[in-house]
Amino acid sequence: MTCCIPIAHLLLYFMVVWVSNNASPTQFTLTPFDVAWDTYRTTLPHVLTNTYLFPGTDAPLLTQISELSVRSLGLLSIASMVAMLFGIGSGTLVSRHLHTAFPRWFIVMTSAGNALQSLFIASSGVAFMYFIIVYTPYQPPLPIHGFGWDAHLVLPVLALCIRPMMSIALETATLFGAASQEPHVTATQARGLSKAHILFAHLWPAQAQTIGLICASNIRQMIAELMLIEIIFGWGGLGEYIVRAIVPPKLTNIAPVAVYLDAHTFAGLGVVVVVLFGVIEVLRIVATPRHHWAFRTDGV
Amino acid sequence: MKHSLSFIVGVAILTIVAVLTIAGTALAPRNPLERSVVSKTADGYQAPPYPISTPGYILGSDQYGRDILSRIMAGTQPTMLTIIVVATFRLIIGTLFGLLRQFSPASVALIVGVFIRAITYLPQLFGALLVLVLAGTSPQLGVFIVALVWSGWGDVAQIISQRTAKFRQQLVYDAAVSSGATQQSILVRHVRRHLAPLWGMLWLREMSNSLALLAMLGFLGYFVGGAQWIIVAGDAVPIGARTSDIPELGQLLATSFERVLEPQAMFMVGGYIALILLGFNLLGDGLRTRMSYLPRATRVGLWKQVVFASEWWASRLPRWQIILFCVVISAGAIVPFVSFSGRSASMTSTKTTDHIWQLNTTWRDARADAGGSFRGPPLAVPRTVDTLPAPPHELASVVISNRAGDLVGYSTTPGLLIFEQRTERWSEYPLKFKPVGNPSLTHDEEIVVVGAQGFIAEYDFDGIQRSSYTVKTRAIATAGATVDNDGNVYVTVVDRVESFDHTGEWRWVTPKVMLFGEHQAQLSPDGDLVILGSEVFDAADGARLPLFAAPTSTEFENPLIISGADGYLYQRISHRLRQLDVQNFTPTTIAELGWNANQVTMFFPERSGVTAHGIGWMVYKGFGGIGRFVWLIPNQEAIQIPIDTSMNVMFVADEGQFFACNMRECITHSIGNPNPNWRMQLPAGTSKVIGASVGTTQDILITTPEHALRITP
Repeated sequence: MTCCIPIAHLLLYFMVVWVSNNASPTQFTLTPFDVAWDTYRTTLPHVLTNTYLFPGTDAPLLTQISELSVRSLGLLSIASMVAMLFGIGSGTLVSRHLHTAFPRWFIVMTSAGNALQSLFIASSGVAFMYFIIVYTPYQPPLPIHGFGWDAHLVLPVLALCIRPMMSIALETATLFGAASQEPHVTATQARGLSKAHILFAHLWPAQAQTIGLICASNIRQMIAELMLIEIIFGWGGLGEYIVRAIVPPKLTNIAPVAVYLDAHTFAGLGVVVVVLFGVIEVLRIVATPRHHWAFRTDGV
Repeated sequence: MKHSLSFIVGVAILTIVAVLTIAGTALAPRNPLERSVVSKTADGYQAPPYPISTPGYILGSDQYGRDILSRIMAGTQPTMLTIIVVATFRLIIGTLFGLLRQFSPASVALIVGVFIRAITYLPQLFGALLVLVLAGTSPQLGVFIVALVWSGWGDVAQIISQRTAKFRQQLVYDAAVSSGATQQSILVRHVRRHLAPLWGMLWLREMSNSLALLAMLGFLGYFVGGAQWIIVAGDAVPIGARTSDIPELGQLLATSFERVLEPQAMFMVGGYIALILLGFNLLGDGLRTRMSYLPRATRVGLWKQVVFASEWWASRLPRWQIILFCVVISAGAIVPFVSFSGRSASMTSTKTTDHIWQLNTTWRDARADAGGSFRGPPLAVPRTVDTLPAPPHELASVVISNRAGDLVGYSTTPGLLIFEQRTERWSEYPLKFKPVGNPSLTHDEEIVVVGAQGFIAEYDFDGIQRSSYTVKTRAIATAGATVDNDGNVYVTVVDRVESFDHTGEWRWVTPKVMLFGEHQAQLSPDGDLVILGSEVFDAADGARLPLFAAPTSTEFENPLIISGADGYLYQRISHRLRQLDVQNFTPTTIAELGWNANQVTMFFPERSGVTAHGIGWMVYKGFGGIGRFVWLIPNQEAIQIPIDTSMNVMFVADEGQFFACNMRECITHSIGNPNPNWRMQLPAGTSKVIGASVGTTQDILITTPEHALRITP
């Protein structure tokens, strides 16, 4: 939970930058650092006291952040749940014979799925739906953009979960395949236990922790991809506002080209985040005696 | 067999990618940065993005008319080299930290472990953005490599650390320690061999991750090289769209989906990136499978694994499959050669490009003559500069002068502003319609005013309307009138020219032509031809003249016709000017002026012309603050003069001088002098320079919204 503090601070910073961009988009005379720092300094007290109103909705900023967070985390949790369920499920399915070799369809599926980036899937999905709208008399089966906890979820979730799903499936199958060659598995097979029993009673408990780490690693990547997905589908979550805060403009007046983002502050806060992660880790290890014994042998 | 198929397909894909990495730029059928705004086909004209299978554009083009196939081929090399460097550094740094984590004192190992975890916790995209935002909107390749390496080495370190930790639990490690082996020898003899097979797969994995990350960063607007700005609108201060310049795959993907109903560029680029990622994945899977097949004794080094796998594969596969594999690999290298055999021999100096870039700008200027040759007076120094009294309302057009020195221009109200030289006072006469372009003068010094709705009126210098008439096509007029010596008036209505005689009697209208922006009709030096963009018409009846050969199926021609001050017509194609002999309307090329521009600039000239002495000139508007004025002297090396991109060339004097202005100052340049030989500051508060014209006494009239300035020799 302590990790949430720097993350929340960073997200807060993004929001402030975004608000400042929208509130005063023509302050070219000041350097980006001056603009951002001044806005940050004057706005932060209002933000912390929840008296800063979000432009457009006139809701308190922190309230708005909470709502946007629910949207983002909701999409992320649904997509990650789908990825984990189907990924682990298909990985387990192909391992049911306790072989190291995988079926060809599985290799093709996972290789192709791992090669498909979420933004490519999302862009293709949007283009396909527009194609239906423009060139056929039918309505698209799924909404192309917008926020909603219904059909609007389908395309974003698909775009977000396919690559992690395939990655989890392949890693799971590889883990089970390697574990199935262990002596204790051979012994259980010699004893006459069924493959299903061996898979779920012996292999699963041994590999559950590793599979959990694999899922966590994929979710970490999904968090980054979430920003892109929210932009493409106009999801209206935190990611969209973060991107607006950091992305250089695509259309601008050439003469005074300026980036709104205060790069130094952003980078500085990023370093703070990393350092805070480090400090938290040190505290965690110092506070847990068993880590003194274990950290040299259990990997990082 | 089923596993080796992954290996085969992965190797086949990556071999093609390797061929494109090595020779993609040379094989590209077009210059990947070459833009076009229109192409001409047998059925007519079309604007970019060109669809797939357009002749000359096999995979179509992006919205700026840049060939997608060429961009993909040329973009493979910088992308692959970048991710190879990034993956290598990630591997080296990750391995060092992973080993440091396991083979260092406990306190150091603790800190290193925390550092690795901190890096690993941060999503790679965030980590890369942290570095890139420091570089602003124009991060260069080095910054990108640092950003990508910094954000991704943590994963490698973690895997190496975990694998090393497992090795240290094995008996062989205990045996080595028991036998008195030092840490260094354990690292070199045992750990290195233990990790060697892993390095290959990690390298492939990191290449795949780097490519994906590069694409995501591109999507967010962070391009290697910082992208280019393409002018899409604007007057004195141009508005630019930010798009990719160096054809790198990440930014290609990012900028290929700006038009949702024309997604072919996105499909092509995205599909190609997916294919490369698939190649990496399949090769990695194939290697993993292959390693489990190999005898334990051969599990040393990636190269041996690959060699052994290849031998195994070659010895077991049927011969026809080997032949098929060789054909696939060869096709990857040969097909591009075959496909592009019809392309131009060179993309640099000798290329006669098929497209003409016409800058869609609204910058207005007065032509020095009806031919639009930009011919100006000799630019001797010093001169006197007079700022005329401020008009009652802001000027909206260039002011022009009659023989008596009186001036006329449009005001923003709208109205006709007339400046009497004798009294030095402005008089304003309201207009009932909004004029377009600039006013023109007939031989009898009547002011010809063209309204946007196609209403044409003639006034005298007392503001009295003498006659009026309207265009017959009912289209809007898009440029001011051109008047010949007989008093005939030529008015551009969108994409055609209508002509009236001196009494206002309608004469003819030309067929439609392909045009972008405002084009004023021009006249040939002898007044017999009317020029509009790339087309030429007979001034007597408006008939289109078959001045140019029909395009072939693989060739586009949209040449721009310009009138030279030396009395010849010129056809501008790319960076070359062809002098045309139009006797009997036969398009014979007499001479050619040009220069090797493609090595210097990626843009086509914004303006070009020829002086009375037959010296060609071209103006380029680059980005980043540097443009070029290029003199093209027959049989000599071209002379380049760097100028600020905000400068707009007003006139070119026959003596080899040009006159240019921006909102701050006006300058003159001589042909042999790289620095301005005359400079004049414009009055403070000048918002822009509308344009300039030449008076009958060879004085130069500069028009800004607030003032009119007269420069006399």
